[in-house]
Amino acid sequence: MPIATTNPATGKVERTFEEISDEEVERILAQAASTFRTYRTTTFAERGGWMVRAAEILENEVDRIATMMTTEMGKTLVAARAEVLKCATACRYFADTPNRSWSTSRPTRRPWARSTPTRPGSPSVRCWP
Amino acid sequence: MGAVDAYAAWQPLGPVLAVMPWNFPLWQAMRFAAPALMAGNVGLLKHASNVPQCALFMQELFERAGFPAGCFQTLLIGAARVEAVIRDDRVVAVTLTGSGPAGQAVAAAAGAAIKKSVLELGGSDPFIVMPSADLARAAVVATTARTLNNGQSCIAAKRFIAHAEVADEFERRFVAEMSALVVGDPMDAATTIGPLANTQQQRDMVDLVADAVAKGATVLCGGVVPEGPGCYYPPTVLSGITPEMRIHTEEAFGPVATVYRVADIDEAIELANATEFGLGANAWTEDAAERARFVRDLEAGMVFVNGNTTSYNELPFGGIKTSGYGRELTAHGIREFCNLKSVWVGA
Repeated sequence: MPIATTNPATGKVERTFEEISDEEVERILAQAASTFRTYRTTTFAERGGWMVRAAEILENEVDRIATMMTTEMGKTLVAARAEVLKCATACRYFADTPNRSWSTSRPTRRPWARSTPTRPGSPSVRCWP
Repeated sequence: MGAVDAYAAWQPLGPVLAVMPWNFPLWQAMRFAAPALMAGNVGLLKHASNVPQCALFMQELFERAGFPAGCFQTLLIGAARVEAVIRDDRVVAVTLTGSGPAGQAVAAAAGAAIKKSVLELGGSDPFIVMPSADLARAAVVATTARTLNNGQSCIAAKRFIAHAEVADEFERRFVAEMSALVVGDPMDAATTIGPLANTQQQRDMVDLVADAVAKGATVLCGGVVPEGPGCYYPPTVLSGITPEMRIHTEEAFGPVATVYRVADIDEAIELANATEFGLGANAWTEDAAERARFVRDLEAGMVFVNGNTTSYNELPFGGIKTSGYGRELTAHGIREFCNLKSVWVGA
């Protein structure tokens, strides 16, 4: 299937695109790997700030973006606008609430803790994997 | 010696490839991108070939928002070149939302390379109406559930299963609501049903309905492609469905509903579960015991009672059986592409 915008309401091919070359794929994968090396050390606050900015762009440009979507795949403009705004909610949701707590889990039962009392006289039993 | 601290941490994995479909061209990509980027992963998007402007927009959006260059990149490539990207050592995992065959191909390539995959595939969600249900509301929501996004949604209700006591009235109301929808130019605010996404989708609906009718199904409304240009297909309701008909087992990715009648809740649940899919399920009842049965016994990743099946950032999204595996959204979605690292620190 060629890469193209074909308006399903009219059947008219509005724009066509060339597939990128293998060299371009290589350049993109190299960039992804190199960006990851530094991006992985950014803070949640930094990522969250960029994510909120993405939400603002979606909200500010909802009409233009929705029109593009309707032209490409035929959903009603009303539905396309709702989709753009829903994307903004995802940006804000993931930028904020879960991100302080999802990334670490501390068990409440801690058999390894130094203060764990052992019964006097009981042998120490450990099972290694 | 004991540990002074021990815990588990979810850490980012690396570049993750997302293979995404055209039906919600921004939402599907965002449902992957937002949690992936917040986790500290970077994204690569191979979008459907009929939504290239949406594909390029996703990269532009994150660049303009300030994410470092290379955090989210779009690959304008055909499906044939996806496997090589999955095999590439720099790509650590893959997520796909799309068809069963596409999911099989991507999961096979990921499996061969021992890379994590998440699959959100098709669905043929049941919509069960019991005698205690608010029939007027059920019929309105049934119509939305079947025709949202011009009927092209994996979590659209597709099989409408009504208890015999209320089947006549539900069917009458449902057909009236479906017939009242306005098919037309998607840019027009009065339109409720736009065209299908491409001519293949339109052909698929024509073929599924023709097959059912040839095998004895009754068309209660719709069923005829309108004259003129565009990939339109009207809201359609079919009754008299038998297991020999393709639409009984295949996913109808367009505004075509099938209606069934059952004698009791056992038969309703059995029919609802008699599918290879297990994405969403929808049930309508005011009876608490029935509600508990549906929640316990419907084989689906998501069960919605007395309301339309919808994805929320706050609820895990995904299916079982051939609807795929893994979950998107919520903290579960973020963690899918993380290294869950156990950390033990001695004194």
